[in-house]
Amino acid sequence: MTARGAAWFVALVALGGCGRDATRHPATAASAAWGGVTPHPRNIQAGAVLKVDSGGNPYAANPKAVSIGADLFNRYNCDGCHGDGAAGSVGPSLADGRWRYGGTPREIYQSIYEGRPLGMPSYRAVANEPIWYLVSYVRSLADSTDHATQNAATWGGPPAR
Amino acid sequence: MRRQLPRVLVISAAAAFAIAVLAVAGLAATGRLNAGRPSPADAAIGAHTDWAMPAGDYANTRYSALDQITTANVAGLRVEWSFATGTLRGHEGQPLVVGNTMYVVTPWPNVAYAFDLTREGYPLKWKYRPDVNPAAQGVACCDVVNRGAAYADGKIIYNLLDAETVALDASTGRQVWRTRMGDINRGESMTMAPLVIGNRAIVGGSGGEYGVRGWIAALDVATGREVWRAYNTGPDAEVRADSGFHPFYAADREPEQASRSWPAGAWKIGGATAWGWISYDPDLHLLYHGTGNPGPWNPAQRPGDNKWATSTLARDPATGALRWAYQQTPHDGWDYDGVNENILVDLSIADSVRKALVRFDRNGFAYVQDRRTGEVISATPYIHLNWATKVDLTTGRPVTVPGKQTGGAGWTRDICPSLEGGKDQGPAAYSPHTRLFYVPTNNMCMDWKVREVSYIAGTPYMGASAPYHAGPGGNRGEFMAWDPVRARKVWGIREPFPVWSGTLATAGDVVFYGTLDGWFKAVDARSGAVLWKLKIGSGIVGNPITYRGPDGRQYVAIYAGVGGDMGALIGGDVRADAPYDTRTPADVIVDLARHTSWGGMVWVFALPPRTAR
Repeated sequence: MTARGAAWFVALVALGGCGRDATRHPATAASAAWGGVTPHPRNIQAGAVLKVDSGGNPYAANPKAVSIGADLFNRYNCDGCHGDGAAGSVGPSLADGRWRYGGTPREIYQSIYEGRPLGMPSYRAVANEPIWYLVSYVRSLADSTDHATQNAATWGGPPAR
Repeated sequence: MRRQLPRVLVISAAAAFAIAVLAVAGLAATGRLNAGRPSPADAAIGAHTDWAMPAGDYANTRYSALDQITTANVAGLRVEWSFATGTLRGHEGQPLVVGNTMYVVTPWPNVAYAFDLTREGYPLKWKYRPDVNPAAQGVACCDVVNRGAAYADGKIIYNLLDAETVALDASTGRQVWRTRMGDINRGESMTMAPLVIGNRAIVGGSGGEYGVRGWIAALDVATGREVWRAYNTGPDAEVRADSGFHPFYAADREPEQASRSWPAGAWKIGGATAWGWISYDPDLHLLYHGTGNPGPWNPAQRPGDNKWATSTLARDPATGALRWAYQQTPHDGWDYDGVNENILVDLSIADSVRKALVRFDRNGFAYVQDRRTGEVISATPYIHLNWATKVDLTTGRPVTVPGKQTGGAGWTRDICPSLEGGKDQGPAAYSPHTRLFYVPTNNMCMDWKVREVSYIAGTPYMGASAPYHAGPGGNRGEFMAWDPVRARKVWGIREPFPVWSGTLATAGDVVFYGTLDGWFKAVDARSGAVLWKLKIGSGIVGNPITYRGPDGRQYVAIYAGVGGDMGALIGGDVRADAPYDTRTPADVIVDLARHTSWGGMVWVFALPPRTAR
C-alpha cells in the first residue's frame, strides 16, 4: 500500500465508514460517506508553494517604500538572521533570487506575517503597512540572474597552505 | 613504557588515583543524594580507557594516557569505521565511549545513537529521535549545533536545541526524563554539553544574541528535577552571591553589582549565557564556567561593566552559590564571550606549585589564574590583539586602547581579534608529558559599527555590524603549542582558515586536530611536525577523542560536518562568493564554501592490528 493509500485507509477507518470496501472501490463509496465532497481532487501539485498573488503590494508605487523597508529591516532585527543587506547569515539570503516560500509580494508578506516553521518568527503584531514596506525592500534586492555555476578557474584552486 | 613522573600534575591524574583507591575499597554508587560530590562510580568514568566525559576528565585537559599510537607509528593510521549521522550542519562536540558502547549526539534535531563496539561494523544498539521544535533553529545564533552528551548512573544526558534537557537509559535508549529549561519564544536555546558532578547534571543556556538572561542550573540525575538555578546577571540573591562570595579583586566585592553595573533593568535581557564547557575540581569542590557576551552587541546601550557577562565564575556544585568571579572583558564591546574552557592544571610557577586554571580567552589573552581565588597570575596575548595593551595584575582589568572602543558614531576599524576571538568554542588540550597546551586559534580582525537596536522577544538583539578580515600574515588560523609557565608559543601550524575543531593530546605524544576544509591531522606534540593527515569529507568543527576498544587497540574518533559560527555562514542558501552577494565587503569567510560543504559523519581510526601490539 502506498503512503497515500494508507492515509486514505486510515481516514476512512477513522470516519467509521466501510473501510476496506471503500479502499478497494473509493469512487463508488464517495458521495454518501463523504457528504458530497469529492475524494479525488484534481490538479494536485507535488511540493509546490502555490502562488497567492491576489492583491499586490499597495505601496509598490511609493518611491520611498524601499528605503523605509530597509530601515525597518534593521529595526525589526531581520538583519540579525538574514544578514546585512539580507545577503544571508543563519537565515537564508533574500537577495539571491531563490525563494523557499515564494517570491511574489503576497508570498513574502505571508512569510513575514505568519512566520515559517524552520525559525522565521511571525511578525503578525506589526501588520500590515510595515510588512508591505519590508516586502518592497526585499523585492528590490532580488537578482533575476541565477548564478548556478561556480568554477575553480575564477578563484585559483585550493587554498595556499 | 615507564615514564618519568611529570612535575606538573593534572587533576585527572589525581582523580584517577582516588578512583583506584575507592575501587579497591569496593565502594559502589548508592544513588542517594550526595550534595553534588562525585561518587566512586563517577570517578571511575574518568579512567583511561574510555572517553566518558565531554572533555575526557573534570579538569578539561582532553588528555588520554593511551600510548599505543605514537609519533613513530601514527603514519600507519587507517580508517576503521564510519557512520553518516543523517544530519547536516555543524558537528561540534564529540562522541562518548563508555563500556564498549559509543554514544553520538547530532546537531538539531538532536538524534542520539548508541553503537556496539564489540561487534563487527559497530551495529546500532538504539537510536533516539526526539521531537525538537524546528522553530528553535530561528534562535540559534551560530548554527544548530550540539556539543555532546554526558554519561552518569547508566544514563545519557544531553540538551535539545529547543531548551530542554533529556536523559536516556544508556542500555536501551528509553527516555527516562525530559525537563524544559527555557523558552525559545524568549530566545533561549541549549547547545552545550552537560557536566555531571555527583548526582547533579550541570547545564547552561544559549541565546546571548537574543536578549536572554544567562543562567546555569543543576538537575537531579535520577529524576530530572531542577535542584538549583543561578543567574549570571541580576540581584545577588539570584546570582547566588551570598556571604560565601569572595572575589579576588577589591572592586568586585561591591554588593548588587550584577544589577548595578547595568542601566536599570538591562540585566534582564543582558545575555551572559553559560553556553561553554564546564570544569570541576573535586578537591576544592568548585565548578568553573564562563559567561558569554553582554547584550546587545551595541555597548552604547548598556553603559557599565555589565557583570557578570564575559566573566569566569566559580560556584559550589551543590547549591550554585558563587564563590568567586572575575570579569576578563568589562563592558565588552567586541562580542568576546568568556565561555572558553577553563583547564585545571597544577603549575610550577616561581618555585611554587599553583592550583591553576588556564583559559585561552576569546579576547586574545591566555589567562593563568589561581583556581582557589580567581587571582590572575598572568595574562599574555596568545594571538595578535590590539584592543588592550595588557591586563593590570593589581586590578585584574585590561588596559584598553581608546581607538579600538566601539559604540560611537561610524566605524571602528581593524580591531583584533575579531568577534570569533583568538579562539572560539573548539577546546584546547593539555599534555602532562610535554607540559604544553595545544590550542586551535583564529587570526582575524574586524571592523565594527553600531546602530540602536530594539528588544523584540525571540529575535536577534545585536545592533552591530562586524565584517572580518585576515590578521597579520594572511593566514586566518593557526594550531599552536603553548607553554603556560613561560607564557609563550612553542610552535605553530598556520592554516588558511580559522581552526574551529577541538584538540586531543595523548601519552603517545601525538596530538590531533581538524581544519575547516576537512583535513584531520596528527601532529608531533613536541615538534609540531604533521605526521599523518586525511581529508574526511566535510569541514571539522568537532573534537577528537581516543579510547581503548574491546580488542585492546587504541582508537581515535572525530566528527566531520562543517558548521558552527563559521559553517553557518558558508552554507545553506548563502552562496557567499556569488557575484551578486550584497553583504558588506570582506565579511566572514567568503571563500570557505569553495573548499568544503555540509556533511555529518563519525570517523574512527586505528593502527592495523599488528602495528598496534
